[in-house]
Amino acid sequence: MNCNVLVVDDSPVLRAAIRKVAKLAGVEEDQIFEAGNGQEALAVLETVWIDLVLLDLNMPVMDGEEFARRVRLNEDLADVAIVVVSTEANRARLDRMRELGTLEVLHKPFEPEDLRRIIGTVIGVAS
Amino acid sequence: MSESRPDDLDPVRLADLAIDALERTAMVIADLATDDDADLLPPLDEAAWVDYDGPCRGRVWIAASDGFGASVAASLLGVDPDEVPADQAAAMIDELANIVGGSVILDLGGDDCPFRLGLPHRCPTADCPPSDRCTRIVLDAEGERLEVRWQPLAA
Repeated sequence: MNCNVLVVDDSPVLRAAIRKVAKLAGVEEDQIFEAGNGQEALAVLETVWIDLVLLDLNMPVMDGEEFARRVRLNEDLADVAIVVVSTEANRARLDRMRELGTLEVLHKPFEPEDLRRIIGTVIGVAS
Repeated sequence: MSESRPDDLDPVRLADLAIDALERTAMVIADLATDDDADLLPPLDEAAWVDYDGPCRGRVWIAASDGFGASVAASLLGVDPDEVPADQAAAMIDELANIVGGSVILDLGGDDCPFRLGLPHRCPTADCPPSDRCTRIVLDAEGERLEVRWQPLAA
């Protein structure tokens, strides 16, 4: 499946777990990229085309909301799909993320099957 | 959302939230330990906390025995505990504080949740507040000790 996925989460163990689910959803190992915060994620986007970003919100250095805002300000990245995978529960913040065009919000703790379904749906569109 | 007020979380509800987080995150089964059961569990070795603020403030503490992080990470990743890199095992405690903290604020705040969760911080287990200053539960997580403390903070 020709689809690049970027996992953005400050927890290395969660990145590993999400990578595993993405592989189960059909994404090839070498098409999965990782970043530990929004700033690292922007750096990845400068070097490789990404179809889907699986985005945590509460991260050090640059949080997910600021990352999404910067992505949407860049015309070249306007079509990048973003799915929030986070413990974030604050209604106002989640509303702002929806205004930034995020496709889905998956709340931690999540069922791996729910994440696999979301990835499958999005990359099915992207491929 | 529970029947609790935003500044009230009873031990049974706190245990339910932590048990659900473990099961949904990593399919790790945990049970609330009685005092007698808790005496048999291994001692605490690592801890982390996460703050939240909003209409009121509070802190959620997670503390666990030595093998807990590797055990949960192994279950999450589908590998043996001795295959889990040390950084991932250590990060599991932080992430669990993050996840349980998120569940706590969602329970306190409901669908229109006004609370904001901070970032998790590692700390010595000795920093965890005593039982008379927090709501504290002890879980038996497949033979490992997991303690969760919830502590309202002054505004």
